[in-house]
Amino acid sequence: MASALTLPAPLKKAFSLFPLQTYPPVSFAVRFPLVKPTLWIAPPRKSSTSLLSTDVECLKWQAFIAIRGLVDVAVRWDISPEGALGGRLPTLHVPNAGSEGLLLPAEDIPSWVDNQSTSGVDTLDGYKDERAKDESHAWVSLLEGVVHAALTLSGSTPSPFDTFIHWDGNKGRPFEALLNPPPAPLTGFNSFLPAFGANISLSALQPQYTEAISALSERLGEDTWFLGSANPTFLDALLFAYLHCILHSGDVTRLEVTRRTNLVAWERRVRTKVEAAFCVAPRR
Amino acid sequence: MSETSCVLHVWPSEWGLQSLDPTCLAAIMYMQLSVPGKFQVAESCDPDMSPNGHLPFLTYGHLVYASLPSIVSFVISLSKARTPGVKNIDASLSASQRSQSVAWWSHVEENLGDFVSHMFFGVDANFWGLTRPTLASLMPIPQRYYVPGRIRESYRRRLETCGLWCLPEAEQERKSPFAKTEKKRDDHVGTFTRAFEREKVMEKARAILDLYARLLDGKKFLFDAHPTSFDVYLAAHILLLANPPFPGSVLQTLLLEKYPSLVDHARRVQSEVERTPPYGHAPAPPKPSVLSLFSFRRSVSKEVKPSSPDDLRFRHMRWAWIALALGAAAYNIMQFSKSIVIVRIDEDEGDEDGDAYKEGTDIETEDEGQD
Repeated sequence: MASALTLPAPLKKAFSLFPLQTYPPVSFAVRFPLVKPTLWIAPPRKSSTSLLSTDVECLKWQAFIAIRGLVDVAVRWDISPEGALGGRLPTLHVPNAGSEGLLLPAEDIPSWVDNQSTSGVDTLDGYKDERAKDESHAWVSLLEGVVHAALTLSGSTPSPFDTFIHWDGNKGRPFEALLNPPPAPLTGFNSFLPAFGANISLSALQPQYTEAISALSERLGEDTWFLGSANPTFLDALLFAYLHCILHSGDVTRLEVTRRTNLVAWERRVRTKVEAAFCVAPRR
Repeated sequence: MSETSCVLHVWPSEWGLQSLDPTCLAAIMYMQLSVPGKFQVAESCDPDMSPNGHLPFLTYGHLVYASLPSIVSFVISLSKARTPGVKNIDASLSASQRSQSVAWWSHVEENLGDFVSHMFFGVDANFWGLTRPTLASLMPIPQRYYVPGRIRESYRRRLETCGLWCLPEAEQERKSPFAKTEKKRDDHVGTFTRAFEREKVMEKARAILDLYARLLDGKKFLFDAHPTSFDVYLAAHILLLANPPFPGSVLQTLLLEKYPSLVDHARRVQSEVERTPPYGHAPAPPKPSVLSLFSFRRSVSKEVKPSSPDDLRFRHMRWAWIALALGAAAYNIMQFSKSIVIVRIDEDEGDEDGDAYKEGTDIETEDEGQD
């Protein structure tokens, strides 16, 4: 078929004026060569003092990896969320024999950690009993509901210039999806104006937030790990992430936590353990 | 605490329950258990009256408490102040039980609350078949056309994030004039996605309901021998999943058939609440309506105010001012029009009443003559 159609000669001469030039592939230097498992996170507050991320999602996975006993994990924070798997940080980059390495989204980190650790499969996920495991679901929803909403509201809103130029922030759940029932529009349901804004403020959430923090403090008591587990669990990682972020957030939310000494002491103890597990990814 | 001053504003009652919204239903039941017979309920369809844009909200004299947790903590503070007739149904809980109750409350709010919103607003067949007609029948004329849709839109982001929004199966159930041709085309691909999505929702619902069944574990109430605030909150959600006649009722059948312990617990709470003295109904606030905007004609004719001498003088001066203004305007117009008359061509000696055509020809001949 191809031989039946030939390019006419004048066209051939015209095309010969624009030859196809193929360049050899450009070899680029890898900024951070992959030696150990590297976690891509949101930038930490001050990289000289601490390697803990400012974002709750990234910090929760950092804490999870650390409290499960893994050490010598590298972190890098130069990758924007759009470059991570699923459009969200964190992502784990694991060296794989033979290929460039394996990229794992956040959901696959627990299975990777389980593979690394020598203990067998635990149906209770580290909790004391079935009842504690059920209760952990309740505490997770408390942390990811009211506490997360209060933390988001207490953060200072960046100026439009900042959001345009600088790092945009990990796109978590949209604000209207954080609470149930979803916040009413600022313009109201009945008005003829199209719905705009969200009728939610930190002062409206303050009583619920205070109750949540006192419940957390009461339940933790003097235990080593939350819910009296013998070994740290995912709930401990989540609790540590929220406490750490709250302690570095606005005054109103921070003061609630600082009033509870057992929470502050617990956070300090877990922080030393988490910080010890991470190191900066070596640059070429 | 006087009876007239404590008013709870909620969505109206429907389907044999005191309210059609889970938080409102929980608020009414909680108040009936804590403050029996000493509060009133005002049924309202206007969530904008509330400080946070949602019903329920409680007015106590000049104070307003929006959102159910604030109402609960207000009642607890009243009971701590030893107000007569107020009792704290959570008083018998230990500190550890109280903290667990807070966590479980949050779990019900996030998870079971999502399923209730899914049944009312997420499933198309239910929204168009049950929720929207019910809300529209309760609301006045202009609001009934757009407010239910607005409320549904406000739930969209949250339900989409959980994967509980508009299942494909529901979209097929809506009848269209081209139903025959559409069905033949879409049946193969549609059936599998529909079944898959439905199964995912069922799986999620089973996991959540199993949790509560295990927590209940054959006890009469969750923490104590009498219902606490968390019992009331859970029961309100279960009742609103069990009672309303949903057109698309897969989740309802799952609850009624596979989880009788949860339904029994809800009915037990309901019967406890029914034993308390009934609440009074406060007069409902006037429904806002566009028609009220057009009543100004009626209000002017009804004006029979006794006029004081100052009022009379003011009225006279007002009419004098209007007359003076009109007179001045008329004078100015006449002057202006006179000046127009002067500027006209004076060959015709100002003959305004003459035939226009003749005038024109006269002017032309005059002009030609001049040229």
